[in-house]
Amino acid sequence: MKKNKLISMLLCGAMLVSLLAGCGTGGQDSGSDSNSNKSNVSNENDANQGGEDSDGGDTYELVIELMTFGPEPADMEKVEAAISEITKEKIGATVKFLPISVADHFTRVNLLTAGGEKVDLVMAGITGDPATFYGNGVLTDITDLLPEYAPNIVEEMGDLLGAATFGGGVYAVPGVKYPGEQLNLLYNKEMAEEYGIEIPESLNSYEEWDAFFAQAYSKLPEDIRVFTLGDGSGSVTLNWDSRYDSLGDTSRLAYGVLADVESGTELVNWYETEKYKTMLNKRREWYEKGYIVPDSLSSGYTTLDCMSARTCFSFQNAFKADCNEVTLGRNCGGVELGYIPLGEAIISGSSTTMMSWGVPITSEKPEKAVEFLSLLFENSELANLCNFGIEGEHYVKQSERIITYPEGVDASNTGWGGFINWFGDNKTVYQLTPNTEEYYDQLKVYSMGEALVSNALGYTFDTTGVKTQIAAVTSVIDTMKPMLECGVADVETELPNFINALKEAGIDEIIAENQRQFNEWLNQRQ
Amino acid sequence: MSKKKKQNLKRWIPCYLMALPCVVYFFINNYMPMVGLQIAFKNFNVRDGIWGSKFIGFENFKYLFASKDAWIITRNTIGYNLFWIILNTALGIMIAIFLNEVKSKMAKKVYQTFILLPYLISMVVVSYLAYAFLSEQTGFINGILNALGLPSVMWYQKANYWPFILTIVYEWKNIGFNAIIFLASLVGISKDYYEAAEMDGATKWQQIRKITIPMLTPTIVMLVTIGMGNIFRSDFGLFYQVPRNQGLLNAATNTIDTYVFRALLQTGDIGMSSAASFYQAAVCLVTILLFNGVMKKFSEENAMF
Repeated sequence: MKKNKLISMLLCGAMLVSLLAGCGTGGQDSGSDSNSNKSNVSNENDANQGGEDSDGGDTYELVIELMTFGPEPADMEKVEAAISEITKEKIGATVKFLPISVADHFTRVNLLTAGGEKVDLVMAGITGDPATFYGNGVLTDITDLLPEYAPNIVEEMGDLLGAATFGGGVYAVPGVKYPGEQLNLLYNKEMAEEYGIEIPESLNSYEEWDAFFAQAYSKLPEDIRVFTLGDGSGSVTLNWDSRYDSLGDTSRLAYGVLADVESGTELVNWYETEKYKTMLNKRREWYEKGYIVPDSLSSGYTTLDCMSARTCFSFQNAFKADCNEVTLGRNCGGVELGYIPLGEAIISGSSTTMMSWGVPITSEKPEKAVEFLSLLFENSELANLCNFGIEGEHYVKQSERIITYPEGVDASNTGWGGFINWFGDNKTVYQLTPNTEEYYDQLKVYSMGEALVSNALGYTFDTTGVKTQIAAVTSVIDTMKPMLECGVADVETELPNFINALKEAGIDEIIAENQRQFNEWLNQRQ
Repeated sequence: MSKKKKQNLKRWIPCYLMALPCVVYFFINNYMPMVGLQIAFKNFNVRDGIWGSKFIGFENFKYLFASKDAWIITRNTIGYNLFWIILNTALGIMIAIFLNEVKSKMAKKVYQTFILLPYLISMVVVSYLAYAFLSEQTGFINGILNALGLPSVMWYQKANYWPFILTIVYEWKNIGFNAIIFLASLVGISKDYYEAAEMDGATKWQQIRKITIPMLTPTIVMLVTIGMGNIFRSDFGLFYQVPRNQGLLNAATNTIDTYVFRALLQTGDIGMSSAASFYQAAVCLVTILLFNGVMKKFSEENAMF
């Protein structure tokens, strides 16, 4: 009897120990892969530092977020080492990348900083914008650091820095110096030639659009549609005649927009405007006539998916410094694209902060992070390394500034690629083929002085006071907007429903608050 | 402490020790994080942390009731769940009885596996299976309709089909698991009862009504109570992935989980998402207590606690 008891107690003890042991390893695992990588590398660095210390060097390890499409680049450590060599000499810091998948980016960045993990630079755009990160308290104020550690950025960016200024402090640095955005209609060149579709020079009225689409529809075979609106996200929400500024809201949800970009001061509810209604009616008409890929909304195919499946002739997209017909063609599975420009390029707050860099509050030496950014815009060798990896291994030069993949390597198997971040000054950085030197001439179109600058550049809506309404309105927009803009829903019945739902969710209060802040900002500016 | 109590305690020590790992586990995993519940009432800010953020009362909860969707999401969440709890129980028992009647062991195993299989498939995959059936262009169902000379149905554009589609998908996916649990209890019922009943000339239907169902009651009560405990939660995959996030289906497919997802996707507000979970947990706690209370009143021996 006694023996039995003893055994049972022993068993209990064993279970408890194994459980706790399980807890321990579990905890470490949940610290995520990046953690274990980090500790490995920091060990290496410690070893390096040991050597350095004898020279009196004191290096800091910069942790930089790398926004990936999924798996981390295979040669990350190699590239890090090459980058660190430069940075160690110039700013006394080594570089360590922290790969985060674009799908997790927004949550991970919030949680990393909430958990106190050290990160020195994060992408503050793409998913989420600097304003939201600022509101969540993720970013640190770098106003005072910029003039001291990055005078070149202050000088060259000038007004652009205003786009990431909140409450008088600068919280992010635009990652691209040429932030204009220009809408284009892109079409499949091969199809145009094969079926003899005439391409107009411009599309400046709905009559021209109708004529073009009707012509293309009559010439294309039955299983190829003229136009696609994809899953209703991204540039699809824009239109040739609606160049509004969404005031720092990168996802174009439009909580009050500046419809007159150039000189307007009044914010309007975009969804109530006549232009919006006309656009919806037109798209509905095209949908019913069979011009538009009909099931892309329910199948979830994006515009690029439809183009690479070659079930569609044209789509619209915005060109930026890091996105033109060449890059888009590459993303469409190698389709050769032609384009028709739809109006001039615009610089707005949201286009400026799209690729911006922020320094999180968990950075131990924000000044080093800022120094790195400064170096990035100055030193093209460093920027090229970050963007394209090591010469001879990840790319080979074709001419002065144009590079290509080495033999046997392409975008799918390169050891350094598959991320979204952009590093440095586009003007001095290489470009991948089939881009040509022309690319550098195009850049001018997107730069300050050349592009149309929004009257609200530098103003960002602080949504803290109307969070409840924003959440409710966002939910309404997310459910109703795509189906309306893709022409799937009947405009006559659904648009009033949409507007009513928005009003009930409190869009008017949001716009009023937005207008109040905007007026204040305008007064301060004068 | 009396001698008897002391003796009792001693006797139960091994049991307590055996429970200890679980208690520790639940304490660490389920009770310690409850400190974080306060986030629901705070304007959470990374810089100030959990304790330092400003207390704002019920401000975070407001958005749940801010739009006219509030009624739709509550109705959908609770309505579907209530209906499915009943349907799942009825169908689960039915299938379990059928399975139990299968004589060939081999056939029984095969049926069981096939019925359970959908339960193990991820909802994202299920959504594509459903899409293969319902697609407007290439869907299986529209293919059949067209072959019969009937016009295609735009499944993803009309909300009134969706209560049925969702119910079919849900039952197809989840029925297997319930059936297995019922089957496990069925197997435990002694054959003697049925033999005695047969001797007295009871029909199969009478046997089911008078023997099987009463013997299954504890299992039914357990499953229904668990279902009640989740009545204010919805399967996000089922309501977001399967309808492919189509706004036109909103009236039939918007539940509290999809609403919260859509509302907070852009802002990622931790306080407001905690508020939603807190609200769900509170409603579920109330329903589970109510249900148990009712059970206690009508048949005490079957109540869970």
